[in-house]
Amino acid sequence: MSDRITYTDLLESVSEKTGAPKQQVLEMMRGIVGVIRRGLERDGRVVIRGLGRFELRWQDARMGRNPQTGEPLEIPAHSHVHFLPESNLRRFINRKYAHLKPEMLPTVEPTEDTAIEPEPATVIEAPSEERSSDENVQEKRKYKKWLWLIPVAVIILLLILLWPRHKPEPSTTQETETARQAPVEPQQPSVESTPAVSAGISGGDHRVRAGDRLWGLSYRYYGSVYLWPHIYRANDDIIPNPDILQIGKTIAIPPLEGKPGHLSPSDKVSIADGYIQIYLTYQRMGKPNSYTYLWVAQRVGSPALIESQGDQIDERDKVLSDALNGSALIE
Amino acid sequence: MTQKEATDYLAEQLNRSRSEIQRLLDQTTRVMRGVLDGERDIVLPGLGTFQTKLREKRRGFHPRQKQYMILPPKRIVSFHAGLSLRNYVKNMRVEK
Repeated sequence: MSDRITYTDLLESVSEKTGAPKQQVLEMMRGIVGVIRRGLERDGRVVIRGLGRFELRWQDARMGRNPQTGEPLEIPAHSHVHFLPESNLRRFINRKYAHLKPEMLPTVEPTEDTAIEPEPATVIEAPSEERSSDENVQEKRKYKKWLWLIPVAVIILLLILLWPRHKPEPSTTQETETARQAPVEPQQPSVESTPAVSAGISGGDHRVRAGDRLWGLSYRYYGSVYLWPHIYRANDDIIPNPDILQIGKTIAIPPLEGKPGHLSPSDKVSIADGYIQIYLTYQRMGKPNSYTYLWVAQRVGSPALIESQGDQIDERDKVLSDALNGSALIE
Repeated sequence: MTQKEATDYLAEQLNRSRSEIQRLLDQTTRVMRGVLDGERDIVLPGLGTFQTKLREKRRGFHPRQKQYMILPPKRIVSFHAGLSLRNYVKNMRVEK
């Protein structure tokens, strides 16, 4: 996976950067190693600016196993070195992910979960399996608890789909009305939607004023900033650059069947499509990180949808967005 | 040992001025930072290995809000002490 840089390469690039002779850099490197050792010995902790803090931690004697034979053996008490990278380093290394924030899952599930939690019976009943490290069992238990939600969700979604829908009339003064309905906490559309789909949000028209942004309109009308590609998709013929809106232009606010966090399947399809449109536009504009929009599209929509746009999507971006996906957590 | 003490110690050991040491130290760590960012490992003889790893997104729980959440992926910097350093510190006891 990751390869290592050789010591000589490292020395060379430092000496190149500083203009100091290699011999001096080598001394410096040895000096750093020496100072860390010295500091650990004297105080048990050393701070090196630019890297972080090294400190000694004491580990009491404990029982372990010989990894080869499985034989129990005692690991004697000892100190080990613990390294804490400084915040600057962490931030620098993570700047690619800096825009990602924790995403709240709908409240419904946890409360149900906690309601089940106090029943100790379910815990004990779980038949003890051979490979039971405690965590494994717990993981499994959690997973099982979520399983029953799937059929329920499917049934309710089907009910909603089959229900004859009445078209909500677009109100003329919808602007302030809908804005007030906005939930306090905007949720990302990619959040697994729960069954409880309610009234939905009727669309309308909006005349662009100074200071308007697509995401701002999305928050105002839908209660979530993350649905702005939905608006863009309905207006992509009159908005050449999604980052810029022309004052005075009238753009359509498309209706939403569900609500942020409780999107209906057809909402999801069009929002996913919106994210793909954004991706394609940003890619044409040469914006970096456009693949993150592809990633969202993938999470919100179905793989089939992505496939249908296949020829337009850059393979490399696909790989990148797949990498973002990581392990399937709740899917 | 604080950053200042470390610089003083290095200055004394290498017989250079403190500002010079500080400059060199900053440059060195900056290069190391760049190397780590390029997903390459750094092995310093006598110390150990620095590397970055990707921590996948995972499900977390917000105890106060009683809500599950998806924690985004992030990269972490890890350090493994080499054998010589491990043996060196093995019997050091620090009283807190």
